Amino acid sequence: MTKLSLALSAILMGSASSFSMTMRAQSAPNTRREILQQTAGIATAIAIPAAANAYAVPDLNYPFEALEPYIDAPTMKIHHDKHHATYVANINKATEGKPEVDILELQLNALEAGPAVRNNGGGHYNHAFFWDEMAPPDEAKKTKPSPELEAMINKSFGSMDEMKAAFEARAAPGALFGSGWVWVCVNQKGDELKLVGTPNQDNPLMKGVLDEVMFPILGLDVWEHAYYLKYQNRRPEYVSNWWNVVNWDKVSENFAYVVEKKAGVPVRG
Amino acid sequence: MSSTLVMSQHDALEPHWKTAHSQKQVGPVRDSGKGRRESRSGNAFPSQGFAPGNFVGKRDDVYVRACKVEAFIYYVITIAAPRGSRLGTRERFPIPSRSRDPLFQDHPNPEKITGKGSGPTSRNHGSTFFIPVASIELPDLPYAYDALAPTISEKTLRTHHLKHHAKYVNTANQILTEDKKYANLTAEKIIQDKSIRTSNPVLFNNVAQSWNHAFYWKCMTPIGGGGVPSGILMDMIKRDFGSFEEFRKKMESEALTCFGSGWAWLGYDSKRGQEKLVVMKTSGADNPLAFGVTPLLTIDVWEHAYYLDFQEKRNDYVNAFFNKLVHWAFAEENLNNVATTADEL
Repeated sequence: MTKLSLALSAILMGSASSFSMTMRAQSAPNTRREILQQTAGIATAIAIPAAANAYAVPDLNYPFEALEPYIDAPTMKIHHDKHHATYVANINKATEGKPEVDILELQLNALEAGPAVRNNGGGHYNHAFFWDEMAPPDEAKKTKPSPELEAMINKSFGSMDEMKAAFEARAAPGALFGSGWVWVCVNQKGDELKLVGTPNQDNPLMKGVLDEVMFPILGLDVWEHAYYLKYQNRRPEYVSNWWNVVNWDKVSENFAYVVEKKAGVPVRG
Repeated sequence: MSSTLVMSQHDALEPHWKTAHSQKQVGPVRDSGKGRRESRSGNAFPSQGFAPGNFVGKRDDVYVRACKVEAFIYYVITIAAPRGSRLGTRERFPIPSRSRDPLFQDHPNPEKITGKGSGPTSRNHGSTFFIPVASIELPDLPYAYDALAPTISEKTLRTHHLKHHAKYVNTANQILTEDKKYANLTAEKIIQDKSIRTSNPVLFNNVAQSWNHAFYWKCMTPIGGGGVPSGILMDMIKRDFGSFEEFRKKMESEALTCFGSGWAWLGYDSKRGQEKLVVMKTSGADNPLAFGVTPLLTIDVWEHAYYLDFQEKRNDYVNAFFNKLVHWAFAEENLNNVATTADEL
């Protein structure tokens, strides 16, 4: 059923809670209690149509061409509408019939949950995180790290320039071979920033990927699909150009959130 | 003095990494124009020109008999050579028996080489393969850069070959120059060595990717691409997968489910007791040789292989590869050269 028909039937039934209902698979009932429960479940399901796990691709905060010339419009369009959408479709399929879980919470035990959840749940979170930390160059130019973030950067890397240099080195094709992401994270203790790379669609929130779970505040997609149309093999050029579209206000927000809550940054969708 | 070893008719039977192991020549074999390829050093023994398939007409059997005599002489020399002498540097080998795979026994002339294309012969795939890697070479494409268009564009081939493949080769050579301890290893040995994979992953990645790409170029052809294989390979496909369609579905599925960067392969598993064709995917730079499987055919599913032409539509790329590009003659050639015992891998 489409979301529209779900919405309509919910409105008709006068229930606002339909979207969070899911049908659970059950074996044949063998007690009166179970039969009653099932009937009640079916009745509510009829009255309040069940929705599959409704992860969705969040809309970008800017048009596809907004990050030009640093990231080209065709890349943004395909990256968002095709790659991210595929991860969302697949994670919805993989979590169908299961209790709904926020995409952020899915990350922690993603490795245990199996490759479908790891790859696609990771892909969905990573990309949702990625879109929101970028802004059109004119706006990005006006943003800057908060004093707290600046202090932490200086403490962990020496200076902003040194952090950028370390980041670019970590993102180089030799250093991050194949597909993956590069992250700046706050460590578990909350007293330092760490620069890490993760393969494929893994991220530092997933238990078992790094030595300890860490909380990303800044991340860059270095899968080839993120830059190939414009840069081809020239990943270092893509990485050094990327700084022009980083929204440091959002990164500072991420930092403040992560330090306070000791949890990953929530994302839309 | 570089010794170019005799390439005899037996080369068709023995795996080509054995023959090339002690070769010093590092460039492509030159054709003297007389229909016989001469070694670089002008060595009296002719180099690898005498395979039965290379000549046509009545003179074939004369050359074939000459090859057999050479092979016998060489066999005697290697067996009889005093230890430590130059003559004994070639690996000793018994005349190999064919693989226990019954399909090899059934066919009368399995060693007929059917390779097409203008590239180097199958024996050393240019000088990239099976030669001690003092330096890895970047082989030329077997076809022009626009030869596979419009399926794979000229821009893709140029970038893929001259930027990606070249970078792997250069990086590998940089490491091999700095660190002499790998000097006597072939690319295959480096790929198969579990300790190198962990101790020097950068070397492993770049050597393996150099190998993979040199192999991949030959898996495609601008003329006569697509279709189905013939000979033992087709029989084996039917035996091991049920039908060609089943096999193709399986290999396409491996290519599509390879998450991130990697390769999909058709290979021959010659490990004792499990001799058969296998379809597998590998991640990053990985190669079936590391798993005791001889590659027969590959498709590159790193995004750089198809992104300019197909963008996210990897399924269309894989489809087009099998419909229009796949070079089955090369895969058949590779099967003919398959190792005859697990020890030889």
